[in-house]
Amino acid sequence: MTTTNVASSTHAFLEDDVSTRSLLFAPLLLCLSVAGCTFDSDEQFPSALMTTTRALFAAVSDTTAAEIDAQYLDRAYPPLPEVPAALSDVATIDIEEVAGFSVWTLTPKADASALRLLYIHGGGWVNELDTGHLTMLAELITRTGVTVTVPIYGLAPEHTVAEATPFLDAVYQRLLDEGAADTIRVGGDSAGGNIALAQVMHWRDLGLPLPARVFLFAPAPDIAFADPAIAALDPFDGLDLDAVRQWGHYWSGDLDPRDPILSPLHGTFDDLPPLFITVGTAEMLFVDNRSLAAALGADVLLVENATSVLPSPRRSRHAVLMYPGAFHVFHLARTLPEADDVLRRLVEFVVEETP
Amino acid sequence: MTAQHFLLAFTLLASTTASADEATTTITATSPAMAVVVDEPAFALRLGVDVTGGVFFPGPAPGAGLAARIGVQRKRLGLLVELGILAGSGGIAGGGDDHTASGAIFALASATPGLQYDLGAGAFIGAGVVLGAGLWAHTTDVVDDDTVTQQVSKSATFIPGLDARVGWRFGEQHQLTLTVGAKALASAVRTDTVVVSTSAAPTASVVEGIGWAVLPTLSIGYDFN
Repeated sequence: MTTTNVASSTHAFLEDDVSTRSLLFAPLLLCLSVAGCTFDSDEQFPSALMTTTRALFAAVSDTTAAEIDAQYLDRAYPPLPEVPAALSDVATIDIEEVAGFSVWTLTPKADASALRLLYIHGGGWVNELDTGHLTMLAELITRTGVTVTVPIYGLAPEHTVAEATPFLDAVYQRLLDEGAADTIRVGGDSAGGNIALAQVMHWRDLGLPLPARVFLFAPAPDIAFADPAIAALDPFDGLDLDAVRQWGHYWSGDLDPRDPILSPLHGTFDDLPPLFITVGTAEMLFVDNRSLAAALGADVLLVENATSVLPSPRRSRHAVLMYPGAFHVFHLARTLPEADDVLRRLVEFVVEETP
Repeated sequence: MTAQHFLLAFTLLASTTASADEATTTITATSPAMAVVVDEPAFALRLGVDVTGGVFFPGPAPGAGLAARIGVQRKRLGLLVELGILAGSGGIAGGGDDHTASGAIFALASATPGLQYDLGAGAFIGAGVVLGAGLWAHTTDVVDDDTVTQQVSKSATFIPGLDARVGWRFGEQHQLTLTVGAKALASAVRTDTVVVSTSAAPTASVVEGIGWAVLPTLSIGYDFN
């Protein structure tokens, strides 16, 4: 039996919107840090910590589109995060400007491999890179020796996809200029997963050499969140359906939301590199990722424990791993056993030789 | 000052400092010449604080909180109002073919008017009505093959209930208290259930009704009287 404290796993969730949620839950988290604990009698998923953290999300009040507008349309632009010690201990950080935006390069201080990763952070298209992303990348650097490129794309509503696409094209072209495409991996989470998949499909359409592998944590395949079934999962999710739709609307600008550069679910999936996608069954994005898995013809695995494996031999180049009861971007909550599991599987995927 | 005056002054002083048991004693003075009976004051003020731990069900969710109480006491019977906050979270997961995991979170701010009765020898019992505001949320997941049944229940803000307790006073002046209690809470609750699978679209249902929760507690307190 293992016991775990709940408060630390809420970290990633709170970072999505620190200004409001941390104020709302500060007194509660104080009590949780003292009293909250969970009991797991085995190593099955979901863990008790996962379901308990989700109970916290269920308590969050819904927001309306008007409240989202009031929060974002006249805001101070979000600052970049402090670099956590976990990252500065293992990597040097160089910041350059490419096509008018910053690009961070995280180079391992030791045991660097030939692998390079272009990582596009999430945050609903409206929130900045945060320490949770950097801590997770530090872990990935430690385990794989990968050099990571993090483009600091302009956030909505101040910026739109129309500015991000040429910027990310320039960043990717620079990676191609520096080395072979088969040493490149592309990854992203949530809105970053949406951008990453859309960009890889865009690079395919441009005829560029493609990265050897692509991993996506809970990507948003359809920026309109149009599937009616999504609403059924809204009460289970720390995100709010009205909020994500509004954020997607900001990011779209003047483009049709069905354009594959915004909603890859409406694109074609021929000739893509192997995709590794993870999603929780208790998040709204489960619905569109299940549709994406079907469109890809991917192998699908409900990850019930650490020993769950994909079919062998695999039918598809693509894999979609569904974590039961898991909330959105749970991989950033490092105290969860599910987050450990997904990182272990990701490392295997990232370092795996190109078939 | 006569013996009568002295005795009256002493009695008044004692009524402001004595413990509850002592305050209920009728003081009778005797002398060879006369017997004087002096009535105790009508009520004694009671003030106290508690540090509380408890476990919320459904959950189980361990929690902690603070409370303050104020009231009056006449003889063995006290009328008190307790103002408290209590919050916690927790969950449990078990194995088996159908893996089940559940978790809960609760936060309750409450005013509890109630009665307390001294049984003697430091023991007391009490009961009250909980007028609470806050929330509780409870999640349950059941995993069976490629299907996950997920349920979340969320209470309304108003959480009324009943409180019962038994306790003991101890320490040199009976100012420390140890109390075992339980709150039975009720609230309007919305329960969402969704069944998801790797191979079919989610199916969902919603039930709204009255939900119940139980919160056994253990408190250590201090009486200022």
